[in-house]
Amino acid sequence: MIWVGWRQQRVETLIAAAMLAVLAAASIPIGLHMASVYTHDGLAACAGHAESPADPCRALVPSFLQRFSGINMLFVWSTLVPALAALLFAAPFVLDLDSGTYRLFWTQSITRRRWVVTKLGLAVGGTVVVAACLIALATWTRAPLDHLNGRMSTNAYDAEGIVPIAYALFVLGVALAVGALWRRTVPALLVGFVVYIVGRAFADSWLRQRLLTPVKTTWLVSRPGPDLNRALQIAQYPSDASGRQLASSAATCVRSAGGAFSHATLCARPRPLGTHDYVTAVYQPASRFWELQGLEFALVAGLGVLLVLFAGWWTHRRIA
Amino acid sequence: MIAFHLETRSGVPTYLQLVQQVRQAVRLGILQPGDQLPTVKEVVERLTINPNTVLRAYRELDLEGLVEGRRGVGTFVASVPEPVPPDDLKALRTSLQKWVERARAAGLDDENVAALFADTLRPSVSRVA
Amino acid sequence: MSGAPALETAALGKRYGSHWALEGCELSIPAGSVTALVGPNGAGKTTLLQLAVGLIEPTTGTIAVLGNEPRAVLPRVGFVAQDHPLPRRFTIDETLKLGRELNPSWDAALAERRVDELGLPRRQKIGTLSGGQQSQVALTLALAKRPELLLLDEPVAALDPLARREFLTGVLQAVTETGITVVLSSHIVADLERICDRLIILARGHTQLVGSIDDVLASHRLLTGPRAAADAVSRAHAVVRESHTERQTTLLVRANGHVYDARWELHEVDLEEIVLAYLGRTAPVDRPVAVAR
Repeated sequence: MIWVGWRQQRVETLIAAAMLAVLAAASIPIGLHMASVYTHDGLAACAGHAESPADPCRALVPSFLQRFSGINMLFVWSTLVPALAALLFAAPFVLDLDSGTYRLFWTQSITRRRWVVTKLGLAVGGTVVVAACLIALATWTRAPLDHLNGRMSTNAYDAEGIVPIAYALFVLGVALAVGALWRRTVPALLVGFVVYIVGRAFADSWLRQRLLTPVKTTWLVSRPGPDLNRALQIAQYPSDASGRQLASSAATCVRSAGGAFSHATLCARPRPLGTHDYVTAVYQPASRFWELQGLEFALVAGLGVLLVLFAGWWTHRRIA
Repeated sequence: MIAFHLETRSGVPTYLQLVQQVRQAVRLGILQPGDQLPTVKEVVERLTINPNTVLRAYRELDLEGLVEGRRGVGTFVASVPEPVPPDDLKALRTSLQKWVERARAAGLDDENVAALFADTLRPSVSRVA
Repeated sequence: MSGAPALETAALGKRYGSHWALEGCELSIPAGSVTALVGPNGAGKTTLLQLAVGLIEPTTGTIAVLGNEPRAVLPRVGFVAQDHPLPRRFTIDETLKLGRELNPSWDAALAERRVDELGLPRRQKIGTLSGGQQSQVALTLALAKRPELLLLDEPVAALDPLARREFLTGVLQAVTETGITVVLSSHIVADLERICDRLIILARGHTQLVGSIDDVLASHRLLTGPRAAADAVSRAHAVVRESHTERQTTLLVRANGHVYDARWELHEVDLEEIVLAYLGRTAPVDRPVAVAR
């Protein structure tokens, strides 16, 4: 049965491999180049560096980031690859139900359960492998950027750690479950894709900020603040000493001095900082990377696995 | 070697058509004693009919004495049977005539007589429920 | 033909929602026979075959295949579903390999010999084959596991006459060589008598007639006569179909013995007429007609 399942998945596997190959071809040369520039230009010493006006890092780092901003974009889109691969691997299973060939397979001599388990197992396996490849590629390629900027922002967080596997499994589960219920291939894959997009948007804008209660810190503007640079920044605003946000008439723009390379708050008319100004930031610190990844993985992958199991159960029990 | 053919619209059962064709072939000398009839496989291949039908036709011919089946080899035309002695035939004809008269006296018309006769004749091959 | 029946049902029924696709089905199909399952679309033929092969479960009643639960004897049953589903991207060789992988009792030599004798192109993808070729591949898959029972759901419905003839020849040769039991469903009524020895007529989920074709032919008669009521006849025999013109009455009758009634002219009826008469019955379904043997 394993040969049969693999043969039915052969084309999809090749397409997924091709997607990974294209991604690798796009990113490996840049990655190598970026790594060498990083070392030769002495940026390695700039990581997590407290900024002083004379620090050469202050000039080096932004120009480095500017120069390799393309890689950032690449890896934002790269997270589509495991999702598309998951849809590809869901297709053979749903196609069998859609086209009626399941009637052929279930009347040979193997049990229905064996067919379901093998097909789903191969789909899950393929999906996980593709996602893992993406993680490896992203982690290696982005290493210099991650040293400088941490891994909490979307273009790193979504492609590294273990979260990509979770979303790939989630997409797979949705496509398989819809396919088992509806038995139409194109709708199942479409729904899988749409739910994926919605899920990612939801995670980015709402979930990650709430999986763990974010840290809220208030500090005097003149003091060095927490390292927001490599954290996931949720909000940052001028405040009073206890952290309450100042009313907008009192707070125009305050340029935060916390962290050397923080995103400059866009201001129309920045006014110089006074010694009694406070700033409050709400964020998920970089140290929580694995904790947050783990929680998101448990949630999303857990949901995905449940959906895959449901698809298997439904197919096994209910279909004629 | 005889080549069977089928008339699908004749109303005559398939096995009977085969039987009749063999009888005819023997009568005409196309089949001589010792000739082999086509194997069941060959007939099925040529006519797309149920092998049981062929077996049945051959069995019927075997019962008649026209052919004999040799296990593992095939079915062969047997020696042509002795004709019925003319005296026997005459006696049979007379008693049959008497029977027909009785049937007519009972109110059966020609068609019903023929049907009754056919019914009585057929039990060797099939039964009516 | 001896031994336990190849397929046996008792009060078998299958319901989808509020609709009974099959109801009150009582059958016993002897081993070694070739049975035609005849009926219009939606009569329940596919439902019956799918029950026999374990694709669906009965709502009421039981079904025994080779004396067992359907799924327990799958290796001994060959099945070709409607439209002979096959993996379209596989080549014929790969499809045969599929058969080998999924069936412990696979006879690879038989499969390859059959494919070669039929002249099927081994390296070609299933999706590019003609309908007749695909149905032959599907039949090969079913026969090469050396089944004792072969179930075919409308195998020739979409085939041209030549392909139809070749397919049926293949089935009948398997019967010749192995004594396999065959049940094949069809809504085409022609050629039944030459191919099958038994008949099951299904309509609207109920069996209308079950029996050997010999008995069916022997027991049905067409009665014609001057316009009259069918009462006298229907007291002694079952009237399957009656029609009247102004002057003449025609009855198709399942006779209990011979019909000795001077008013009627008797004719034999061919199988196609009989089947069509049963299929055309709109009277409420009474107990199905079972012709003994």
